[in-house]
Amino acid sequence: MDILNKIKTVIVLTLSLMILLTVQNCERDDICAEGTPTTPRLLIEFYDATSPEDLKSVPRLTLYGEGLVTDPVESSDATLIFNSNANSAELPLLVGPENETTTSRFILEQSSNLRIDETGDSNVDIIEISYNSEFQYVSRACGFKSIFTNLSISLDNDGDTWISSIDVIESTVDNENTVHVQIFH
Amino acid sequence: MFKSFIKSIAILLLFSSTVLAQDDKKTVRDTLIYKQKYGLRLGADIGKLARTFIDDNYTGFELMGDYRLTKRIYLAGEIGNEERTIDDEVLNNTTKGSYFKGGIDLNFYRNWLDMENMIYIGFRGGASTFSQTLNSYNIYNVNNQYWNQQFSVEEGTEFEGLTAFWVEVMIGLKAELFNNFFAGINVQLKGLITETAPDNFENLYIPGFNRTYDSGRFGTGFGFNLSYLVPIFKKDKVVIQEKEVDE
Repeated sequence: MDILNKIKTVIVLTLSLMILLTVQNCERDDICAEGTPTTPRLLIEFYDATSPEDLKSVPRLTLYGEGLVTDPVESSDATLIFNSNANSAELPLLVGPENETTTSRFILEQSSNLRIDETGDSNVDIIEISYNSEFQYVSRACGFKSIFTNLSISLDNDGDTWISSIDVIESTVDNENTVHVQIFH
Repeated sequence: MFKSFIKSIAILLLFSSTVLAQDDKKTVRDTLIYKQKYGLRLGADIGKLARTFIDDNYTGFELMGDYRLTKRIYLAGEIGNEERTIDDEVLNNTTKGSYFKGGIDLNFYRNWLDMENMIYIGFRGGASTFSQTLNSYNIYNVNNQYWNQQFSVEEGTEFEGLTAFWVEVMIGLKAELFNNFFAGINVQLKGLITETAPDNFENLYIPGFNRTYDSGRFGTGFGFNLSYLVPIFKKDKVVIQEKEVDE
């Protein structure tokens, strides 16, 4: 009889353990948690060209992806930065097929207030970011993310650029913990 | 009148004496012998079969067998084949493969008389070989709204030669519905010991183990089976009863 009681206790414990595990697992596994690092953005910072150690804000910067909007006069989803002084930016990169070079082009408009107020001309510079997409498995809830390798950036030279040079610090963009690119002006 | 009164008293005394005499009884041991069937019980999982018809994303079957070693201990095992497709927002993956589980069942149910039902706790070791085909997947990107682009990969990738080993504890019952024909249910708790996971992916489902969890190495399962006992030999089950008899 004693053994029977022991076995009964084992059964009750095992069953409650099963229920507990199932409930816990449902909560943790099936929703991609907001804080999970998935596809990273490209982080850039603007530095002073004359003193390369110091951050320097771009006056009245408007920043957006090429083709998404033209000469914006108000803030929208397409304008990552609209008409404000900024010393950093986060650029979502276009995800392309693996083992192929993908490019994303961004427009960085300095002194955009002059264009908006129609009191003068702003200075528009275009940067072209080239990279390879590489897909990495995250989890069953989040699926796959893309990281970006072989990053290179070129500046379209229109003869009047406010950007003086661009430094790629991290040629692999696999997280948002560090700044990947420095832009000097 | 008086005579008849005496007579009735006499009869009453006589009866009461016999009633008193019934107290002089003794308990003795009575030995009953029942024939117990020993043999190979073979069956199939009906739950998996039913799910094959109901669920478009599942095909599977399982054969089970046990062999009675002693009064309480059975050698038991299952063999099966499963194909399961997981289709959700982020990916579509098909797992295909076979598995084998072997171990023992301990019956701790005290059967009445000649009955041979089981309430048991089972211990198993399990092994599976399988393949996974990642049919398609999306790139999870919270910022993909920006370029109005959701990047999907449609070409399938097959990962072959995957294996997994686990242990499991099950609790279940088997009841004899009619002669030699049994129905059973069980629930299983599994712990994954080792697995070969594909490169840059994971095993979302393991045949026999069922779905895996990111947060732990545990899995669960249940079974509903029908089986038939092929009797090979019979053994005596001796039941000693205590009985009261006249001296």
